[in-house]
Amino acid sequence: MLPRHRRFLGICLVLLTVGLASFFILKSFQDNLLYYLTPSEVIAGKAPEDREFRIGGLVVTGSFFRQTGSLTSQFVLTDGSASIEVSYKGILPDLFREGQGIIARGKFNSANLFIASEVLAKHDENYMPPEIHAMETSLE
Amino acid sequence: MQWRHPWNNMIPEIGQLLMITALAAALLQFLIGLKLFTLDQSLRMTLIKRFTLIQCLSIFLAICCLGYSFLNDDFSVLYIALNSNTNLPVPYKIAAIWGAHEGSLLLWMFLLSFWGVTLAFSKKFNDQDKMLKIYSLSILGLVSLSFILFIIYTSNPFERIFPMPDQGRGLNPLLQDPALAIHPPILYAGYVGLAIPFALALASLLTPHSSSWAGIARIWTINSWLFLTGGIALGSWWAYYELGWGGWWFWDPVENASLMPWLVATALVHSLIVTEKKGLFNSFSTLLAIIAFSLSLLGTFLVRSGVLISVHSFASDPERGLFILMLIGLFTGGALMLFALKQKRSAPLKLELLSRESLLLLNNVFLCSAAGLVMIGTLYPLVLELVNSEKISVGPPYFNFVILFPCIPLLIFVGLAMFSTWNGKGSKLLLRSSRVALLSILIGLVVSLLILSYDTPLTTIGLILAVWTIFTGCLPLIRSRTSSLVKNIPMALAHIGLGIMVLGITVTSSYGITFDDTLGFGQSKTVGEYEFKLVNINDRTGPNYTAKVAMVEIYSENQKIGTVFPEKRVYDTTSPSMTEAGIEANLFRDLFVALGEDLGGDIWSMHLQYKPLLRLIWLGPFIMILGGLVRLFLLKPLSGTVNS
Repeated sequence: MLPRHRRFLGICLVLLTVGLASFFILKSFQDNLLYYLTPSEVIAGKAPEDREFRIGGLVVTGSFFRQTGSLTSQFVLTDGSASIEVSYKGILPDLFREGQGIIARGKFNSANLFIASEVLAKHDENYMPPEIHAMETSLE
Repeated sequence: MQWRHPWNNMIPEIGQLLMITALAAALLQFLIGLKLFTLDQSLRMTLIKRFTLIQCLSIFLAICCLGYSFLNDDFSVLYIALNSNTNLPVPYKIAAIWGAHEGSLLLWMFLLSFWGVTLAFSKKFNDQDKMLKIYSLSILGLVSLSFILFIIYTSNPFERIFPMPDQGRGLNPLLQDPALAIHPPILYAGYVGLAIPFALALASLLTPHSSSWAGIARIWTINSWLFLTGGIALGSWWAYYELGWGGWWFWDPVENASLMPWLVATALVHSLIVTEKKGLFNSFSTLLAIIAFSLSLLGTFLVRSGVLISVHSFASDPERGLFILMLIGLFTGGALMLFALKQKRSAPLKLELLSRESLLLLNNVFLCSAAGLVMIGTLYPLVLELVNSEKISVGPPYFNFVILFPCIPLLIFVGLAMFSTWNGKGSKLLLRSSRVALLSILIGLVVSLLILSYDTPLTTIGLILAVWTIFTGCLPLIRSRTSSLVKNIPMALAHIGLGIMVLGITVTSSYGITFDDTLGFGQSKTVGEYEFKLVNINDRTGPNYTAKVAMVEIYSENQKIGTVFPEKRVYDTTSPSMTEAGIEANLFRDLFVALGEDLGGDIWSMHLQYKPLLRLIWLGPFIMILGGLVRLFLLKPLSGTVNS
């Protein structure tokens, strides 16, 4: 094989690898991006149809409800102008509280109830999910 | 109120003065190394060593001052008022020194100057390498100078408040844990240790006649690689039992910040071997050394600037972040500029496709691409939010998926490289490796299909690669002659450790069981072959918290195998509660119980999990560290010369 051919083959291989790699990365990015929306944006219809997204808001005081002994809880999230009812089956984070900012990941069911598969709360004074921090400072 | 010696009131000021002394020493250390004024070389060397030592001692004493004030509960110091109180147990008062931003930077700085001293007084330099040493110490002086300035101007731990509060706010309860108390010093030692190969690489660009930087840099790279490995493994272990939900890696930006330099440092260790032994890849090693330290700085920026909390919070309090960003610009930009200008032109490289050199190079490319992929996922959301304030997050599924692309070929070639020889031919390599390869595939298939239940193709691939990596890792111990046997131990241990870790990751993620459920007193739930029975829940009072403690008995085939006591703690100083998991573990499986909430009527929600071979994920890095330790302390010291 001539060095010229060899170099050409090498370049082709590199380009092919880089191309394939970028394709998979971009695809994976597309599939795994989670959009973050406020309740107002969700009401305005910005929510994706068939994939999960995240809603951030404050838990409305007095809206938390759970049947004795049940793992499922319901509460209302608000951003001040719109609110959304959320249902979550599982253990709530230690820092979950009424009046506190949280983020719920999930999607709507047919009855227009937001079924959360994950609930995140403020971790501690110093670390919290970015969106909650932004929300709390904007509402203050 | 206890009696205090009047001198106690001055301790923070003394600390402050020591910081300024260190600043002056670092400045002199930097200036003496430059050829601004004529000095006799040996005098230059003596002076620069002295100033490196003075800088290190000053910072050490400054830390002692801060520690002393912590032990004395001197709440007139803002940092202590925010991070300690009188009820905090003494060991945590000491750990609280690095419990928050200001103190942890002080520690960062101390470790940097300490590594500088080890370099200054190292005996690895030949006579013709004097300038290499002087230049690298001078560069370290510049790094120290910038960071001491950063501490004094933006993050002074000795700042006072007036009036002095009666009681401090207390240490974040998450940090009140032995593993986390020693985690930051270890991780930081690794981070800043990468400053040494960085300084050596730059110094080697300035001293074209010296060729021994690679051997010297390798010692400190292995050194900081050891600390990084230990720090990351410890952090993962801590997250597993302390954060409460039993995961061992979350692809959290803070974790990614430490993984990126680790990946590049691993590449650097391998590249330096080739540079040291064969005189090849000199430019590549130099570049890797620059990138590794830049990623350390990036990690410091990500963790310390507040940018992760929100790019907006960063923008509203930009002082610290901007300063670090400028430092990254200065060091990375300056270093790359120097690299572009002074890089030694090497003859065009002719490599056999499957020689050891090529395989090492190939794997370094895979390691760097892995670091790149992690970086994209970590920084992309930040950039997007900054540019068009669209908020997205890149979840673990992205990382779990894309990381496979570099890692699967990486593992294949790690094994293949064990059969390769310097400048060796490919055809022989494939022939020699085929038997072990077939054996690994066979074992992987049998285990995943027959012994365990079939899960996914990925599980099978993971098992095959784990077996392949472990087998080929043992190879240098079996195949080689006795003379080279000892020499091969570090490499063998590092690769066996890697294989064991891969095995742990594969089995845990494929066969682990995790779920949340409700449990009443006396009720039990089945997880896999195990039965968890909640006996009762009682109150307990700790030194600075109160807790609800559950008693959970675990049965296997109706035999009681253990009792765990998961807790829900409320610390006095902060309102939210903390989850302390109950874990019953052996080498083969972890059984994990975390207490959820009181659902009323003596029923509690619980998080239960069964994780087979989870311990291997930390045993692997432990074995890797052993390998590194053997290399550094038991074997013939690494030489600083090239055998070309």
